[in-house]
Amino acid sequence: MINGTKILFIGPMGAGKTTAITCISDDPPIKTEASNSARHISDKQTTTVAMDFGRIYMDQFNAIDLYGIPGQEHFDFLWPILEKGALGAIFLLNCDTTDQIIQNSLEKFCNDFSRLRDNSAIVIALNRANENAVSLCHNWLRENNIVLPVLMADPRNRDDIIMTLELLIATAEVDLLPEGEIHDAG
Amino acid sequence: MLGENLAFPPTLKMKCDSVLNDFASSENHLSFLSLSTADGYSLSHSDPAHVELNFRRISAMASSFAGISKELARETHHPAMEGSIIECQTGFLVCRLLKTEHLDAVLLGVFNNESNHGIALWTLNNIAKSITDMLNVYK
Ligand SMILES: Nc1nc2c(ncn2[C@@H]2O[C@H](COP(=O)(O)OP(=O)(O)OP(=O)(O)O)[C@@H](O)[C@H]2O)c(=O)[nH]1
Ligand SMILES: [Mg+2]
Repeated sequence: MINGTKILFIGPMGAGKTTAITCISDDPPIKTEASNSARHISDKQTTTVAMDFGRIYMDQFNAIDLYGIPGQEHFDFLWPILEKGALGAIFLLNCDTTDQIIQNSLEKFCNDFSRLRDNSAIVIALNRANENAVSLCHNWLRENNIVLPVLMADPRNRDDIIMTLELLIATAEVDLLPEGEIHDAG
Repeated sequence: MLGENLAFPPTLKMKCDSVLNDFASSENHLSFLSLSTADGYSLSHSDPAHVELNFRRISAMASSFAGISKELARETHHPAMEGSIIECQTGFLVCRLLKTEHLDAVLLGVFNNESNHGIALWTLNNIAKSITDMLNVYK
């Protein structure tokens, strides 16, 4: 029996969740893609309609299970179902858009995944981003009193996503330790 | 509107509404019908009697269900999934994928317990054919 740690990939349509999971999964991922009828929101052929699932094997007994949400808002009934039992989430965000859309997405996903947000168990990974987008994101977090790590990562790049995953696991696991143990562990 | 995004000609929506309503009212075993894009936007539905339903959610759920069914079928070496069934004590739900020239869609038929598998599948196939013919001429 393999013991799996559940990690979620969240973010709006076209952020790169399916791309990232496909890029790092050891097994061929399970995908639920359907024709995209909203090409003006994200100009790609398909979109996720239920979930993505991939797996990275750590050793014979331990794995990291990767779950991707469908990013479009009408699928938000699935988000709490997929979130159950997750250690943390990688929040992917395509910054090649307006500041307003970036801020709306930050607000939407930080609110809808508030358990993970409050446990500091989210890493924000910006793609197609410049320094302006990074500052915008930092400023928004500061104004909303939210402390989460922000980095730039390309969902098509395995090293970028593995590094993001390592940061998430380190951050989320430290937070899981009862107070006091952080010093002992360090 | 095609869901909340693309332009779905209003005349086509009216035609779809009317076909779905005609079938739903003439078939006693059929509670209601919902038509959505394969990516979960509501296109059209019949007006169900006596119940308040949220077709935005139903359309999204039907497309998720179709997506999972398709993947499960593919995983078990049945690549060309056409539809799937949910069986309940009070009736059943049948989902059908419609591949048309311009649009992939999901048709959901909800049947009460006056129905049975054979009649439900046969009825939904007929409705699927009418809707597919109509969508095929849509540009
Ligand atoms: N140029 C560029 N393209 C990128 C980058 N990151 C992702 N993409 C592209 O953006 C698209 C992302 O699509 P998906 O992986 O389907 O996005 P998703 O988040 O799963 O979207 P939904 O399932 O629709 O919610 C893919 O075509 C990627 O190749 C990037 O950093 N640069
Ligand atoms: Mg996806």
